[in-house]
Amino acid sequence: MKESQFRFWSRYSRQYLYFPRDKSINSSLMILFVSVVLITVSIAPTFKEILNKQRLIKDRENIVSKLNQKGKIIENLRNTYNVSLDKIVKLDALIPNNDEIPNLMEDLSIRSAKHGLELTFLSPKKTTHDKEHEFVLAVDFSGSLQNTLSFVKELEEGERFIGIKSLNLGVSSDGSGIVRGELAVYSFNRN
Amino acid sequence: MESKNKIPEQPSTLSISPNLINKESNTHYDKTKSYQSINKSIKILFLTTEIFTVLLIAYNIKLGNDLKKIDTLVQKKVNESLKSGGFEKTILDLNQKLSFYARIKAENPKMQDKLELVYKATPEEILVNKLSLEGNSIKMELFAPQGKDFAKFITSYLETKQVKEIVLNGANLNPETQEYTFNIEVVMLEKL
Repeated sequence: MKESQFRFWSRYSRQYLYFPRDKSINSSLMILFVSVVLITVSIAPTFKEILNKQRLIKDRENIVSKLNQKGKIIENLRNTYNVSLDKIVKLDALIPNNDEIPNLMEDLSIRSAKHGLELTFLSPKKTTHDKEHEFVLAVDFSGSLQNTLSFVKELEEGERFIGIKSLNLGVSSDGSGIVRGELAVYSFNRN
Repeated sequence: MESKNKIPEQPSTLSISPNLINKESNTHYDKTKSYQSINKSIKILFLTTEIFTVLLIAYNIKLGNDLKKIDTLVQKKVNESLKSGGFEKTILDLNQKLSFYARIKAENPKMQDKLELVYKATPEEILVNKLSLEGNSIKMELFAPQGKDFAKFITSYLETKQVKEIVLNGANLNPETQEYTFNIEVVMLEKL
């Protein structure tokens, strides 16, 4: 009975019964080991590298985005600057980059004479040496109130900004008007 | 006799399964099959790992290329930004200068408006002996031939919209000539 059964299933049984089981386990274990080595040596570091690269790309993209925004802002500013160039030139004339005191004194002398005032005294009073520079002058004129008014108008509407800190008008003993004032001029040092 | 004739039942050592394979060989078959399926699974797992590794390496290379491209782009943008650095400084200076101008303009209110006010609002009868302008105040020493002229002066100034208040600091009457001398301070509104 046994014999016959064996004979009957011999082909199949042999295939399974005499399959080298140990060899199969060994090869499987070997494959498992290779997989683990592959994961440890190749996949894990590559994965780390990928994460790092993704982070770097994200950072770079943020930088590019910010630089693009900045570029747009600068482009808009450039357009506005070009459109307002005449106003900027006017502003530069109102507050020059240098004191230009000799020019100012000459200008004051000429303008006061034009308005019938005589410049009798001029002295620097206070100076600041910051980036935003203020130069205060004490001045005396002789002349009438009406002449003083037209002179002050011209000073205040001139190309250069002149601030009148104070103005004192009086009458001298001979009856002529005396004007004493403090004028301030400004300059802006770009450096 | 009966008991002698009776053949004792012996357990069958070999049980025949319906599929004609004995139990022992069937178990062995199952085990072997199980090993093979494990082996197959491991092989599939290995193959999957291999494919995953290849894909991962390919993705890594792609990311490397992307990073190079974006690095070039960043460098280009930074260079552009550096080029516009001078313009940025100009704009910053301009902004600072505009603020400076606004500040000094606020610090130095226009004197011509005050002088014009004095010139226009002072009645003809009043003589201005001294005039002092500073900030928002106008200090005056006035000479009035009659008391009612001073009242006229006050009315005239208060009618203007620029005057906030008038402060009388002193008044003198010359008993011989009956003429008045007044010391007043006209306070202007902040926004002239």
